[in-house]
Amino acid sequence: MRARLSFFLQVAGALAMIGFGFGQPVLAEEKPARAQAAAMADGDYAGSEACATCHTEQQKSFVHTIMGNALAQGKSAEAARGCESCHGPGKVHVEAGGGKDTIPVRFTADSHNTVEEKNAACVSCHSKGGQMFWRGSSHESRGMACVDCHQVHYGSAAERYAALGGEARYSQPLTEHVGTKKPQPELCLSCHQMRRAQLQRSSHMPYREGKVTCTSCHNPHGSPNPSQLIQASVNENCLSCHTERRGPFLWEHPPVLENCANCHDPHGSSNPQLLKVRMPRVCDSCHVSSRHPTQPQPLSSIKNFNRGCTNCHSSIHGSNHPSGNAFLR
Amino acid sequence: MGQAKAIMLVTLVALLAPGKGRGQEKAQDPQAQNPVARGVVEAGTRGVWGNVYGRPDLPFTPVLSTSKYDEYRDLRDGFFVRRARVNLDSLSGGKYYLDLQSDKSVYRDQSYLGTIGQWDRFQLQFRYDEIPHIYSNTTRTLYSETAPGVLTIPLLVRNQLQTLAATAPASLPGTIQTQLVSGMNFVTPMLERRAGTLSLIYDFDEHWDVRASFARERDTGSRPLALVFNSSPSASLTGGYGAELPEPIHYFNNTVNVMAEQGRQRWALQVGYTGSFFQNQARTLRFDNPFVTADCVAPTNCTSATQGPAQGEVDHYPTNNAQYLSAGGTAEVAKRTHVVGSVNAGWLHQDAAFVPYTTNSLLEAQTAALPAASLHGDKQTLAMNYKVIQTLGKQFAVKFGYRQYDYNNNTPVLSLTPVEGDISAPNLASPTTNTPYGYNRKNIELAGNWYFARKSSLKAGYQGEIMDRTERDVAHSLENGFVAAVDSAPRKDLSWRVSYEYFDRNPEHYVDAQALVTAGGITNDSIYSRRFDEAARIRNRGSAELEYSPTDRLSFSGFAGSTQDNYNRRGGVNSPTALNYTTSTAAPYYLYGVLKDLSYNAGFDGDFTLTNSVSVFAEYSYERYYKSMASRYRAPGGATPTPLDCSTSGRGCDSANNDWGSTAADHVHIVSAGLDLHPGKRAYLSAYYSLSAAKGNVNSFALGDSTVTTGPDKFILTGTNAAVNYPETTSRNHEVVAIFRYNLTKNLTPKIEYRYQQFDNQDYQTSAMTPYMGCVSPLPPGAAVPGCSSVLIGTASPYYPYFVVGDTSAARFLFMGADQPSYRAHYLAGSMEYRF
Repeated sequence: MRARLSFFLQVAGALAMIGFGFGQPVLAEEKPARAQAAAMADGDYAGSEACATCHTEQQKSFVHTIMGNALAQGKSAEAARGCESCHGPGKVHVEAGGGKDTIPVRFTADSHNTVEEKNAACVSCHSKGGQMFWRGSSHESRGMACVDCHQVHYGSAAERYAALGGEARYSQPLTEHVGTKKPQPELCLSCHQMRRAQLQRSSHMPYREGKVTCTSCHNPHGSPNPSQLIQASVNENCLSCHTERRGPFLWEHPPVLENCANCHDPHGSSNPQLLKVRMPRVCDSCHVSSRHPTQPQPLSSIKNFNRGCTNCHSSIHGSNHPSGNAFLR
Repeated sequence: MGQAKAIMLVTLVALLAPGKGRGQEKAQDPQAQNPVARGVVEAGTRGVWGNVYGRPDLPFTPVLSTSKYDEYRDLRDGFFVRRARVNLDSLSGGKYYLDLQSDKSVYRDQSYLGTIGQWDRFQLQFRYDEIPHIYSNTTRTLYSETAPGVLTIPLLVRNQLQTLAATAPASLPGTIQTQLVSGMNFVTPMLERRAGTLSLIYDFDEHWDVRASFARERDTGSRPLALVFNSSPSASLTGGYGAELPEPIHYFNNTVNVMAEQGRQRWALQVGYTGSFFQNQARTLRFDNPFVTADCVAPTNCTSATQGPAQGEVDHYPTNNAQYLSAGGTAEVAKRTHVVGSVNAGWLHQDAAFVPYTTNSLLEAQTAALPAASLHGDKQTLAMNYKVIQTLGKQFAVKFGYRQYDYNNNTPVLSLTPVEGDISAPNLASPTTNTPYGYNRKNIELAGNWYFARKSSLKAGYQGEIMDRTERDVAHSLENGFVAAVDSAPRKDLSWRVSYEYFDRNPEHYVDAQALVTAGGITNDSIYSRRFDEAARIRNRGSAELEYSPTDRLSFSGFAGSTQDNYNRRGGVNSPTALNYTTSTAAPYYLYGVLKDLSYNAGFDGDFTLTNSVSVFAEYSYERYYKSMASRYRAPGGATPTPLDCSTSGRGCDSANNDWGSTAADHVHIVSAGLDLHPGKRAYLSAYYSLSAAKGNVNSFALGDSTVTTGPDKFILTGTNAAVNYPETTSRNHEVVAIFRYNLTKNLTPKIEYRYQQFDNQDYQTSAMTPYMGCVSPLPPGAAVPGCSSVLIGTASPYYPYFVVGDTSAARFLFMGADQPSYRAHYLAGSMEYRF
């Protein structure tokens, strides 16, 4: 492997590349709708009070939402525009006496705004934290709008809890986020239907119990990593909870180091320990050596029942015992 | 502790609930002048009843409360607070907010979340979670933990077993079965994970913030761990013992995270540090050998069949730490050009002290000194991701991505002389070295999107992967792939997507070092054995999805997909000719290992709103997984192994006539249907039924010619070497749920919830497990285990048809009998939801 110096040089080089990217001049020609709206003159704005004159009910519930509070207490010029910070300047709409077509940005199903225009209203503020890598993400590339999953006008947390229907099929994870149209994992499973089936398997992590959920591992708003994983690799993701298996060990099992998913299916399996194939066949898949690993193993074999191969090779994820070279201890 | 927290929370909710109207601080916002506590509390009482079934052979009845029904939860009878939430969003003139939540208070699966913050300034959050994990409710053991990390068995018992093993081995199984197992203690191996996290987000202004968190997690409990006292993988009558133990778990994990980020209209940047520090408080485990009370190495005072250490020792997962520095950003760097980049560098370290080579005092003096006191394990990881997205007008976008993941292993290489199994002296003349595996993976993606119509796009592109490994069979491989997808929403009520991917992975060379080493006349690994994660592979993957909503009341969606991995490729790094013994075969194979890995899935779901007060839904999905492999039974010869001859003992056997194949198939059906009734303004009824039915088949078969009974290619896959089909495994999970709610007032909603769950489980690996399996003999004409008086001798299991355990090699292996039997459970809860 490369020397340690090389490793640091790579880090430094990579950081330099990032820095270089940010040093480039920005040639903004076409601004997103939100930016266009913001660029309009102050005189084009009517103010939230004007909106509340007609949209009384929406305003009443909206003030108790996170967005409502954030806008009310926000210090930025954007926040001060209230409703118009998302929907765009409303003076024309007011002067026209209402009408959907005169609202610059609408988010409902019958909106004529493009997905990009809708998303721009959200992304212009939500550009940090978990949303930083939205651009170029899988969901963005597929033309998904923020409002496909999120709902801003939802009322209070209590109303939201009642509306979501409690815990019918899955126990909901505890979260401060209440602006999704459905609780997790239902929200994700409405599109990722295959995963719904996998979560029903007998061998599963505590998804159904609400202790682990989709966003425990994935960031639906995008990440630079494969499969929108939060951590940099599959293994770093798994090992962020299963830290004991992280090593480094004296004796290591190479497929374990490269990818936990070589043997396990994290979304659920019909086999014990989330294995893709049960023992001993999961081991036989690779080990065509001699003696017992290459015996077909009748059912009576000790290698077949209980923990299979790991009845003996119990330290298969790695051993730090000086005599653990066969992962027996 | 948990109860105190729950009481505090409920008290807090009660105190805050009448807070409506309190707090007269002035604020501009009218609602802010009257800070209002809003929230919800749902509390009630519940009962759970049912039974565990499917194990009539056991002399006890496993209880429901520790069955798989409660695998990750704690559903006990009595009062419960399902969830409580109180939210004050306008404290101190509207500047501050407070949000408190609880979930499943008091019980072992409880969670709490408290958040306080100032709008647009900071957020301080505390989270606490408990997650139970029950492994089995049928386990028994002789062991008890007499000191931290020390599991012992009463000496009297060990003396008796040792005497029997030495003087009357034939009576050993019967004695264990009739006298020992009945005296074992019941244990419930389970883990309890408790984690607390304190996090802070502080916004300096609308553009930049810092985030910090500290999490501490504690795992305690035990889980089944099987161990052997000898080097042989079987604890057979010809030497060796084994035991399954309740491994004590006592972990701590501390995680620190600090991050700063700056976000502007056209760029954002974040830098961060994460430190994860794992501590194992139960560093090693010493455990008594049930059959040996004093260290013994044959031939002095014991035979090869009775030798062994008096105690075994296992080195648990060592204390370790991992630290990561990360930087990431995104920017519009030019006209319609967006770049995304991230760098994540990690340092993994482990330096726990080594335990001695052996616990056998007779062998300890024969071992060499350890080459180091600890490993100084040291790895670095470096993940770099770069992406450029270029839009070309309104109709086209091009995405280029580059990713590199470097796994740099700088762990020192040590020269060691392992004592395998504590029964034989180490080979000091032939030390073994550890292997610092490492790899570097580079991925390239170039894809174009053509938005040919509104909400419709065509994506096509190239994806490639370059994999470089050190110390593995394939040093360099290249994978080229083509991906294409069409998304379309031609009408408001219709959208569909089809996608297809093709990948071709080609290792430059496949050099298995063990296939170059010869022992006993044969190579250690078959020369054409190929590990599937490195091997040449063609992958085809396709999927289709459809969503159709012809009316506002009816919606339908369907999906289908398949992934097909084919490793059985002729030539390249595989064999250029078929490896089959029979040349005129219709199914040639060119490697040993996985040949094909296929998966299929399909399903649909529909929602129909019959009236404003009645809606129904139905879902169905089917999955099938299929994996096929080829292998060969190979046996090294003795002193004069060549020429190889499968018909002569000690001459070694490595003939294609003893090739065998195996397939593993899983079929899963999921069916769900339900309805929601809203008769009138106040009443709601939700009901559904779901079934998850899975079955698995592992079949094995000989690939050679069984009629060859003499000569070098003699067919020997018979008897204990036979390739046979295993019993079908099945699991079915039925669930019937009915929840009735009635809005009594604007604030009060009583709720009645009934759930029925039935889990039918038949798994040949666990459904017959008892603490002692050596007493179950194979079906005739197989030889019965001497002294065994089990009712199962020579007969199929009465509780698991077609299943017969008969492993003479298990005769001196004490298990825990871990199983998760079938159950039926009824859950009835009455609760009141109070909203304020």
